[in-house]
Amino acid sequence: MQEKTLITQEIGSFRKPEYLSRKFHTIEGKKEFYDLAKKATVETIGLFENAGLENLGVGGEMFRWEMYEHLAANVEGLEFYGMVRSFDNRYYKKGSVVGPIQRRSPFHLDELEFLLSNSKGKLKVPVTGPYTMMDWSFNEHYGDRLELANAYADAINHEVRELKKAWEKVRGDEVLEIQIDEPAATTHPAEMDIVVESVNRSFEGIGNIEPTIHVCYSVDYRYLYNTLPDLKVQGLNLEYANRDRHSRGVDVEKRPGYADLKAFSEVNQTLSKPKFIGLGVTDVHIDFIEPVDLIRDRIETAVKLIGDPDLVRVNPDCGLRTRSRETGLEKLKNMVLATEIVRKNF
Amino acid sequence: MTKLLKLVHGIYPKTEKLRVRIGRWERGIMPAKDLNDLIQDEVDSFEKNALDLNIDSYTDPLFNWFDIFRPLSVIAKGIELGPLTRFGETNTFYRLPELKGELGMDAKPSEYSEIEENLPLPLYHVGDFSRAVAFFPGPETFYTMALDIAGKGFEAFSGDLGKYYSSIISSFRFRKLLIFEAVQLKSPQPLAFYSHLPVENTILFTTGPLNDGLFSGIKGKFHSILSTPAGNNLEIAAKHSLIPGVEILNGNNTKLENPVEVRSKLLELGTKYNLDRLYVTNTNYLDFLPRPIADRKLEILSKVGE
Repeated sequence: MQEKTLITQEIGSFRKPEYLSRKFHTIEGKKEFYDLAKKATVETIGLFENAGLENLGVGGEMFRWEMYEHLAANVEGLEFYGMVRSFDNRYYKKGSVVGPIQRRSPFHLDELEFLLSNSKGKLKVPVTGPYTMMDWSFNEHYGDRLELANAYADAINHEVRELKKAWEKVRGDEVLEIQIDEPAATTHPAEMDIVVESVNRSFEGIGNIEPTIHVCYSVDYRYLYNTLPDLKVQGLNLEYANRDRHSRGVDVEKRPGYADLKAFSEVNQTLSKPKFIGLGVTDVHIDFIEPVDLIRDRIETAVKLIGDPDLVRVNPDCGLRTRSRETGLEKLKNMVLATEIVRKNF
Repeated sequence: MTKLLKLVHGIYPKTEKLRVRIGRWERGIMPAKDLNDLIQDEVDSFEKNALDLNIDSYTDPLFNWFDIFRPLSVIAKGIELGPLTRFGETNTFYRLPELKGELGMDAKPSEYSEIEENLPLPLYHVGDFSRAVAFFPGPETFYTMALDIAGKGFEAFSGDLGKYYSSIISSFRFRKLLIFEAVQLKSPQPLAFYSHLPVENTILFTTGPLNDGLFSGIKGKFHSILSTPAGNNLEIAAKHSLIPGVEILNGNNTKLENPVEVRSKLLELGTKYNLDRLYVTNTNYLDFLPRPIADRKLEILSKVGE
């Protein structure tokens, strides 16, 4: 049961201050890095609180550079041979799995421990998902893609257990929110069973946590919705604003970006324990600050389609690290204001 | 014994030096002309390496193509660039070509010039036309991976595309061209397309299973039809082309093939189908791999054909 309707939350990353981003790679792992990452985290939490955000995530992922590389750097079994093109002249490091995947060192423990000693607010820890790690790696070692995804899942499960221990020391029996980031989840529609099995395995045997999944820029979310009966997460934090219009209105025709929530709702209604949607209401790829009334219309449309405001949380489409900190703050502020307006109607 | 001919095709990954320089050019701190000179140097060195490794044929490494459609879309009348779109099931993206009108040429493809949304022309930089082959995305791939806003339809688009490619080829001295079909072929090879292009000088890269129906109506034989060795692909490729080819070096995985095993498998296929010559080539193009791995794969290709 949620304690509040329409909780506002961050998805994960937020633009790093320049004093950290400029030096990140040269000082990573050294004392100066931790000093600057902590400073940036405190400042970003302050910024989120200033925007009125209820769930502070991990303060904008100041300890991490990139979702794939961060996890990859902390597991055994991966080799990096060079950069691979993402698009145009943008490249990323894609690892090759050359041996058994095993957690070598904690992925996010330092980040969480710091947050726990510096914030009493609601937190949510994003962890890159096993399917995405598998899909974004070359596989030279495992027999098939399921086997590799499950190997990543075991490493993630190990990490979540360690996070849980650190969490319990400070927060006792409060539920730990873990968001599995799976941008690749619907890339290969024929492999949704691998997504389900590996994501479930990442949480297997770990109690008192709230697992969620974040997916973005999917060609068709229905592949994901259809897995709801088997996917052991409590909510889906998804991108929608990017595919929506800027005109106003709460009809599905006026809000094409949110139309497929009908398909979500149809599956969700068949579940004994329905899942919630973390609703992307602000586009992280444009500087346009969505006005409050536009975001309000988006939330109202979603609530209408889902039928229960307790099953809706409100967030940006994806991590806001793509925008400047100033633009990110303005987007979050409007998101919070719009949510408050919608809340008053219930 | 079957003679194995080594062929490498498609966009080849860039060196780190070139990537960094392109970044400088994007930020406006390196002149386009200087960047073009560097691209020419890098292509020259690719060709020298291919010669040293005794690679029989290669397409231009396309170092100045942001994706397999980009410069072709940019210099064409009737095509505009749409949003970034996932390339098949990879984690690489291309700009969606939006087909909006009559297809025509809007540039001189063999001359240096700066163009929007891509690195400068010329379209190709290779110089050894005895080995180098022109590269083009195939009509079915282009049409399937584009958005037909004008509602032209596949057949009509194919005819226009053949004419467009023909006008490009006439600006260069290529003797052969490679038509790259990244999608599984569903339609018979479009006659409207090949009415503008020499089938006998065309190497057709295919994806997925082949059947005779795909080549119905084509007069004469392709120079080569490249396919995976699954099912009866090789038999069909041999029937409809002068020299069939096998896609065997994995362009999607860093795992290095064993050249002795690959050679032995290919020679076995050559004997089975009584082939005097057989092309051996990469599956997907090698831009999906880090450059050091692509270089190693090229060496393996060389050893396969020894």
